[in-house]
Amino acid sequence: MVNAGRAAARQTPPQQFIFFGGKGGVGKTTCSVAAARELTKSRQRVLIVSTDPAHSLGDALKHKLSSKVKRVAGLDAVELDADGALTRWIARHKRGLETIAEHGTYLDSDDIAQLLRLSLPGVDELMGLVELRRLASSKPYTRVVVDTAPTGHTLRLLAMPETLSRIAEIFNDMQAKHRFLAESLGGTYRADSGDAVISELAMEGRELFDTLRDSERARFHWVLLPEALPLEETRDAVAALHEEAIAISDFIVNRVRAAPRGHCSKCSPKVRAEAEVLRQVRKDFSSVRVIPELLPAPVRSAAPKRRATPRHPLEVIAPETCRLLMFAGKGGVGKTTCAASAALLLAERHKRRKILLLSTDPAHSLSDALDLKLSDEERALPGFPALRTREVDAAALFRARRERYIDAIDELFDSLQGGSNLDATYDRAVARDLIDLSPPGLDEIFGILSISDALVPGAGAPTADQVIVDTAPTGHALRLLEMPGKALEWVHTLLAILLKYRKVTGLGRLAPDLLELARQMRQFLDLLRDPQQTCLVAVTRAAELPRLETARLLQSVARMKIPVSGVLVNAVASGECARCRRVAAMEEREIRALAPGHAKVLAPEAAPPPRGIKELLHWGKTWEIR
Amino acid sequence: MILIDSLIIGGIKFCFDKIATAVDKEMNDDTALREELMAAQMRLELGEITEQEFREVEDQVLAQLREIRERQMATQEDVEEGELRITGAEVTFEGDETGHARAEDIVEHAEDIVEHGERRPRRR
Repeated sequence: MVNAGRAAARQTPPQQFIFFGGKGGVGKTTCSVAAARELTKSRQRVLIVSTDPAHSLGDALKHKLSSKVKRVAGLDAVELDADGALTRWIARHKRGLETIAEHGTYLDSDDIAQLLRLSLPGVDELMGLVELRRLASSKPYTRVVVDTAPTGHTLRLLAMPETLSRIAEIFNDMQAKHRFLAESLGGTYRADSGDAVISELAMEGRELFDTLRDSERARFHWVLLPEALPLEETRDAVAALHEEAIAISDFIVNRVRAAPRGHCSKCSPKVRAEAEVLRQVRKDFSSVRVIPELLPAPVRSAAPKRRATPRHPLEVIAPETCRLLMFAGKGGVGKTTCAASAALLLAERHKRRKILLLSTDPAHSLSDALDLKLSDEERALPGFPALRTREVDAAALFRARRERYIDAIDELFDSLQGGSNLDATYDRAVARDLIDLSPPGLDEIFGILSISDALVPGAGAPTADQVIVDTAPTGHALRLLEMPGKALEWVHTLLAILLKYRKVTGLGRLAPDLLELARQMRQFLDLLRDPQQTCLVAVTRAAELPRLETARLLQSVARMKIPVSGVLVNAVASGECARCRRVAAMEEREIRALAPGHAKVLAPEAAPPPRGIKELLHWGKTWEIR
Repeated sequence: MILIDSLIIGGIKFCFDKIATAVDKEMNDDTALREELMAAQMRLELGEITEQEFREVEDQVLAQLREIRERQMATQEDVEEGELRITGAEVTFEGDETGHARAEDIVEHAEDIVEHGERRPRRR
């Protein structure tokens, strides 16, 4: 009996995580579902998990999913809820966390409870892997298929095991003082609930780190489209993963178009361009799989209603009073191209207007779209002296402020811990560790600060009349928009704590800084909710999954009271071959069903997509209002 | 015996010194006042006090800052007799609509007034 059990255990293959990564909109979800279905055929027990905060797994499986595992057609499927996971994690470790905070700071239990209730920026990345592991071990799954968020945030997610280990170190430093005191006074030290949290975190970090680097236990598939921009992003991502010692097992080139019968003004050049990209992919990477484009089932659709209108769509999506114009939407729908085009068109119409075109997506593609070398330093575009552009580099901004933060945190800890000689060595260790750990959510924090600094600076006049933002894909764009409110909550909590201990510690330099930040965030929130000044444009494609995600994006944005000026449907088919006609009929049906009540702007498909200032300007002039 | 004497005398001296420092701080140190103003501003931000209550604190702190300055100038005059004496200063600031921006300006400018007495001096 025992032997039989052992034999079965030996036969059971070890659990393997299969990650699908890639730029937004390349078909990660569809590939994940296809792979998971295939695995169930070979008697694997499969769990499929989506870690993108803007989930589309439910749409692909045609079932409503939640953070609870649900059985769908022989698969277990779940959409990860990072906020819920963090709340549960904190509840489970409440005693330990309180012990650490009580030992490591002068805060009382009320303050600590207040701090633990605040939501964290970057929670999706911080909790993603921890929650993934919890779900994976809830049943004896042999394969766990992971549908990840678009590139930038997936890279952050994969770096999280180190962050967990660092957090464990910081907690450990906070406990060190208490251990030292207990040993000096009582002679022996017995581990408490705080130490239990520390060792659990350290273990979790170590195991996740090892798992990701073990090809038996984790495999990475990279999905990309046969286009120049995704190829550049793939090269960057592969290099970043290589640095982390994570290897990609294969590359999936999705939606490769078949050559048209006869000539088509759209398909023929596209097929040629794709062949060139495929040649490069095969040259750069080994193990490449090609998946042909699946055409929609033929549908009958009435001819599109064309309405001649003298107005350019920009007058609808970015009226005269608009100071903040944001392009948001699912990954890969063409936010960057649309944002860059709109910025160039606006700059051409308003020569003196100081416009800042800003990318807040950690996987920037603005440089590639404009065909210019951009960085975190603002630079003017050739021929447009008043149009400046910049790709926010959160990590670099954080590094630049490191010294200042060390001082501020040192000061905070000095004051909260009383600053006696005994404390000093431990405090310093805690402060340094805190700064060495690049906290999660940096991209959203510096993204929002960069926008608000340009429009509602703390001192002096605004540096830009208008800011145009190319945001990260939906899930993280929403996190960015939540940021001012969250920042204000944090600042208020810290202000309340400083006030409470003011008689003991004084207010220090932190108080004016915090007040300044609160004032800036409040002004920015006002601007963000003012329909005169803020215009969000939801960029989408005329297809089912993007339409469903756009509906959810519009709902979320409405809840946050952020004004939407229109929906931009990108890459609308306009070729004349049989394939293009079939696609156009399907698209027409989708456009009709899309976002009722919102102004719609259609941007035609360009093959290959516009690149560089001249092409972007030309393409922007072909947009029309529906 | 000598030891006890010196302890008692030393102790008393220590106490008097402490009291003198505390009184001096209360009467002549503007750091505490500036903190008071900053704290009021923080309470306003947290919604613990109203705009009106904040204005009252602000006026009070400004008046006290002026007093400190007067006292300091008086001391200075005792030393340098015959010099021009400035006993008051009036400052106006343009604040934003919410009025939040003002307090910090006031703190900054008040510092100048206290230290140099050179902002729009007016003879009383």
